Amino acid sequence: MELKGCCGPGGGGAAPRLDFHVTVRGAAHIRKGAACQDYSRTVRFGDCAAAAVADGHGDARYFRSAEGSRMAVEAALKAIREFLLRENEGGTRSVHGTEEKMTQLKKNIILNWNRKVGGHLRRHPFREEELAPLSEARRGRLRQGSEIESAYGTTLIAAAVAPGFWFGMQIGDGDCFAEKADGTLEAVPRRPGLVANVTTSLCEPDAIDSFLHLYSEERPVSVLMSTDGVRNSFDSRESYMRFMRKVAAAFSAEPGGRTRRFLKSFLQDMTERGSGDDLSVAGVVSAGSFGDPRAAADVRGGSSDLAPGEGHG
Amino acid sequence: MPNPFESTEGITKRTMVLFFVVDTSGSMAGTKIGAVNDAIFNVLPEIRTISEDNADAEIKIAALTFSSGAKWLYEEPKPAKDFTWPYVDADGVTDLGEAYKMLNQKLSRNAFMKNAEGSYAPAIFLMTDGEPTDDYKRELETLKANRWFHVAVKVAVAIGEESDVNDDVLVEFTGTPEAVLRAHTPEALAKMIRLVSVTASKIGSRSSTVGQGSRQEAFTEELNRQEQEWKPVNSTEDADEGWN
Repeated sequence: MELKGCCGPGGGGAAPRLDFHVTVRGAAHIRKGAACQDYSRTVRFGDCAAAAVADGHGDARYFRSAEGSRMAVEAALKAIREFLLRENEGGTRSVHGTEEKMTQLKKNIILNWNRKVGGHLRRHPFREEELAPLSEARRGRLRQGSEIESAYGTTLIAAAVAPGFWFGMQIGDGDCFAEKADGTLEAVPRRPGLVANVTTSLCEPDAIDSFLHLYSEERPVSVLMSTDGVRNSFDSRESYMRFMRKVAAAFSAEPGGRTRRFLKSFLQDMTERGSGDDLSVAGVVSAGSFGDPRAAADVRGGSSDLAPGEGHG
Repeated sequence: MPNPFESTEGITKRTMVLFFVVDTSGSMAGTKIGAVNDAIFNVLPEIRTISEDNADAEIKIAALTFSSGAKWLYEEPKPAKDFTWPYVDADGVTDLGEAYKMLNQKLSRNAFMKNAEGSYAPAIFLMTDGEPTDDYKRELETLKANRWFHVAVKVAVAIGEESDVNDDVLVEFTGTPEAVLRAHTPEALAKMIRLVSVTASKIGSRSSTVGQGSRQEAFTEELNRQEQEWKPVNSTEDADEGWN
């Protein structure tokens, strides 16, 4: 994990912005000897910061999803960095032609990911032991070079904060939302109708249709994201939100390695007592914008629900 | 400085509900209902073991019987370790539509899917030997609009000969002929109930998969892999003894 302090919006007197990310291997994965299929990273450049998390699918059919999730995060942060450097040139405080540009950004991320998948497969062709557990039909398709992306299947959540705007984008399960100073939330939408452990994925042919986003010019005090294992470890949305606010408050109050170690230690305990899944939490927070992290859930107002915001496919 | 996250509350395991939907109409009386009773009773220890061995999810069981009307054996899904199968009797007509209606009512965050935040897709296992006697199609259409039903692993066992059970009714329920099995003998039925219950419990409590139909697909793939185990008893070679 990297933890970085970063100068705030334009450095113009706003609170410094801090980015963080933590991933722990799931208790179930440890018990089964399986790799961690989550991945997270953040980047900071100039007065912008971005974070991304990805959750490779656990089913045997997605046997290279650990590589898939890493490549998804790398693909997203590369595309977002290029986008922000272009859009933020000269201190631009908003994005003109937002819808079109957001759609293009998502296409660039998918394209980056597909290229990485193709490159990885050329360097590391499927091995017979990888294909053996699959059905005959699926083995046949992969051997013929069809649906190869499915082996690398993963979700992806990415968000960026710039001086005059923030945006988040998401394909698959997990959560991403921003909190404003008054405690109200803006959440990145997910494709409706998904319940239980069913997700959309970067590996689907129609990935662009399931890749939703939220663009906002409301200044957030925090932009947070987590893979589904985090929310699935809680008995309710309210419990999940209390925890995530605690995370924002902790990093806002003390953006050092100690907070990261506390969170990592707690997530390792949480996966044992909760979902058993790999867990990732990442975000960008404004320094000193929250009170005592132990009381954060109580002092922040606003909705504790994650009602999807006005999103766009 | 104490760890600020230690006071976090509300952490819990995920759950997967296995639904048994059992025909207890008059035509099931005798050998058939006896075989169902024995098979479910005998598979419960194995489901308990799967639940206990799976440190990441708890398996709960719900049971619905239907004949002249339908009724839940328990008011809510019970953890596998607490679920007992009360041997049921067979009598009355085959109100499958009523069963669908009651299933739809409970496949809701306000009912059996309360722990929805961490719930896995349910597995629904229908066992019947006859033609529905009520308007099941209308209730099935309503049930199909239920998102929990949509993502569920669905499997049906036809108990008896082709002339007795309308496979089309069961294919309508599962959405695929690959998830409809036929038990020609009590022994075949027992093996199928075991195989389906165990496979559904394992597949149902796996981590995320892509697409609404993917869990059903994973289930039928798993069944196909185990074909050697169940197909011989499902073949006509074993049909001599039948249900008499």
